[in-house]
Amino acid sequence: MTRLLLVDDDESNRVTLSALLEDEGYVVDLAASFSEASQLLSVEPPRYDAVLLDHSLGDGYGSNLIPLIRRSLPKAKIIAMSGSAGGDRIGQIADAELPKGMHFPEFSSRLRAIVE
Amino acid sequence: MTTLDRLRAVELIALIEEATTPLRHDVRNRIASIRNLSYFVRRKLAVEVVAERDPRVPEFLARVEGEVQRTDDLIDAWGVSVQGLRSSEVQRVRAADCVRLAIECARLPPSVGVEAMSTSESLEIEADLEMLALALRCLLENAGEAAGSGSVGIAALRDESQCIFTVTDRGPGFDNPSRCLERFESSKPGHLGLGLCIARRVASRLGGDLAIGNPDFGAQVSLLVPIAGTRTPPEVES
Repeated sequence: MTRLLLVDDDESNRVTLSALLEDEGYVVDLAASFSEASQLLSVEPPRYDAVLLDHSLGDGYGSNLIPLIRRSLPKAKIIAMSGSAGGDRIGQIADAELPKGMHFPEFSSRLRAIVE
Repeated sequence: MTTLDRLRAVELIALIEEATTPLRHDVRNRIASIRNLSYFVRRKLAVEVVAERDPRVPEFLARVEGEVQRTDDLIDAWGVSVQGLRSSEVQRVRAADCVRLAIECARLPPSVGVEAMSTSESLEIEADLEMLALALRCLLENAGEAAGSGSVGIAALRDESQCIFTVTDRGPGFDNPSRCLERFESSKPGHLGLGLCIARRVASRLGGDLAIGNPDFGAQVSLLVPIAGTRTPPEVES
C-alpha cells in the first residue's frame, strides 16, 4: 500500500485532495504547516513513499523542508505541487512537479507513474 | 527608446509581475480546490440517477467545471500578457556598465552617495542590461534608505564562474532576514516591499540567485549571475 504525506496549508486543498487520493487506494497523512511537517519528520516518521509538498506553507517554504525530508526519508519521492507548471522554484529541487490545478485523473495518473 | 526609458518600462513590468504573482497563485489554489471538489461530487453522486429526477444537476455540475476552466484560462492569459510585455534582450554586457547605469538611475536620498568599488571593466555577463541595472538599482535604493546618510557601496567581483554584485550599507541591518525576501515586507512606511523580490526574480531569470549577508554592521545583499560563456573553459584574467 502506497503511503503519502500531503503537506499543504490550504485546508480545502488538503481535505479534497486527500479524499480523492484515498479513493484511489493511497494512505494519506496530512501536515497543515511547515512546523507540523517538521515535527512529523523529525521523530521516526512513517515510511512514506512520497511527500506531496506545497511551496508556500504560511510559516515557511516547502523548499526549505526538502533537506529534512531527504534525511528522514531517503527513499521517498518529493513531489512539488506548484501553482503553475514550472512556475515555482521548489519544482527545480524536488524529484517531480505536479501542478495543483491539474484535472485529478491526470494528476492521479502522473502520481502513480512517479511513485510506483 | 533610450536606455533610461527602457529601464522605466522594465521597472513597470517588474512591478506588475511582482504585485500580481501572489494573487495569481492564490486564485490558482482556489481553482484547484473547486476543480477537485467538483470531481469528487461528480464521482460520488451517481449523476445518471440524479439526472432522472432533475436534469439540471449534471448540467450545472458541467457549468461549474466550465466556469473553473474559463477562470483558469483567464489566469493563463494574464500570465502570457505580462510575458509579452517583457522583451528582454539578453546579450553580453559588462558588469561595470550595469553598475554605472544602476547608480545613474538610483533614486537615493540627497545625503547618500554611492561608492563603486572593485569592478573590473573586463568582467562580462550574459544579461539584459536594463533588467540587471534595475535589480541593482533596487538594492542601492534599499541600501540608501537604510543608511539615511553617508555612502552605500557597490562592487562586482568574479568568483570562479560567477559575477557577484554586492551592495552594502551601514544602516541598522535587516530586522528579520528570513522575511526580507517576502513580497510586501517593508519596514519603511510608503514602500511596497518589492525591491528585493524584483532583484531575486531578475537573478533567477539569469540563472543566478540573491543572497542576504550577515555583516557585523549594516546590511549586505549579493546578486550572483553566471559569467558570460562559463560553459567553455574560463579565460585567464590578467
